[in-house]
Amino acid sequence: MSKRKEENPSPDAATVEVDLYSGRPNPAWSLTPEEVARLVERVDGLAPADEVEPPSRLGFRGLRFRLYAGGREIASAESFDGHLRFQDSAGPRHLADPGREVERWLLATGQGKIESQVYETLKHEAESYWTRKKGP
Amino acid sequence: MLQVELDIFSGRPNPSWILSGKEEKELLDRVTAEPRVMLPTAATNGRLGYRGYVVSAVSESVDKKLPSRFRIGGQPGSESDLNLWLLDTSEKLDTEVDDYLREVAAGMIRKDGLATPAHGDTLPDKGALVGCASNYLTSSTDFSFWNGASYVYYNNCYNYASNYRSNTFAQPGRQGGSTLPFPPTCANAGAGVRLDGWTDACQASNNLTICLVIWPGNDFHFYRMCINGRWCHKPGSTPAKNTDDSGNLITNPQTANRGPYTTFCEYFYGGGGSVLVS
Repeated sequence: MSKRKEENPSPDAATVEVDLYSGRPNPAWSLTPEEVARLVERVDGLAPADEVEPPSRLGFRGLRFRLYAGGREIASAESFDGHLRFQDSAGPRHLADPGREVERWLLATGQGKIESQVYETLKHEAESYWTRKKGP
Repeated sequence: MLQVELDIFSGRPNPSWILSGKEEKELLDRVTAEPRVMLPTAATNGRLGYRGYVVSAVSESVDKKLPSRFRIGGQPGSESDLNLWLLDTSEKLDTEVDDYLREVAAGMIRKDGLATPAHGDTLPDKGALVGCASNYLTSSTDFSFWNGASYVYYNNCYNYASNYRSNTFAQPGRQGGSTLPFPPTCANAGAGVRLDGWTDACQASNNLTICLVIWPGNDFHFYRMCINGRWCHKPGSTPAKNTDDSGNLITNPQTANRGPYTTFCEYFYGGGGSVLVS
């Protein structure tokens, strides 16, 4: 493996977590290899954005994901309110996610991977929140 | 901007609409004058048909002193006038609420208005807060112990409430050897808390005072009394703080905006300034 490839390995696995609960562990699942590739494409297509702090309210707050290569975590991100706060070996960067496209796509990958009752709850909470934040 | 959802269907998504500026002002005036009509969103009797309305703030401009989401009506004994007026606001071109649906809802609203309330107007007594003689009160502004990058993600509301940074996303009862059932309730989460050593009365010294609240069907959360008459908390893996979901400093967790954690359970007391949890 070249040094460049060692420094920037391609992710081969990813986990997604919905930042929803306060006491219980958040619902989480793994992405398929195809979904990992699609996620990387989506993130690569996002434009830079101003830094925004993630929400700290009770209830639905957004989603997080972690990318792995060879069993080692190589990047992580928080997706919330139309923003992506991404961190890898190059450091942190803030990206714009207009229309919450990445956030919505991440949520959809959970269907069938976690208990249906839990998925329906988090889908309801996310959609209710997105509707409330839509604004005029 | 306020959205009103008519909670009436069982299978289909409920219809909803946005209030005009004038309607929003009238609703806010009415609920401000009579705050008891605002119920937690989970306060439904689960009957078929009309179950009231869920009102949600869909923009930042709404009065922050009000909950961002609350229920109105749908209970026997609910006042007809407000509920019928809210039903009238659904007469807009872009809603799914047709005359038939309005007629069905109106019928149930009038019936509720004539019925005896299922519960009294006052909240049941949840166990009064006891002022302990010896308290351990941490800062209500400095949360650096909890919010550093190495710790914030691994410690939750129960860790914060217990003033014990286990990095295990602590669960009630786990230190005492039990697993919290799903869904968490006041009863089973309270049992776990007691198993961990918390009590219903003040302990000898350095009391932590906490309260347990529940998101019905989903989750638990805790608040802890901190210095200067404030209450503080840590929503999951997010930073510990001293404000509620309306951005207001918390002086009473029973009346604070707790988001979906609408069920207030009770207070607990732990001695020694920290309670071992895992």
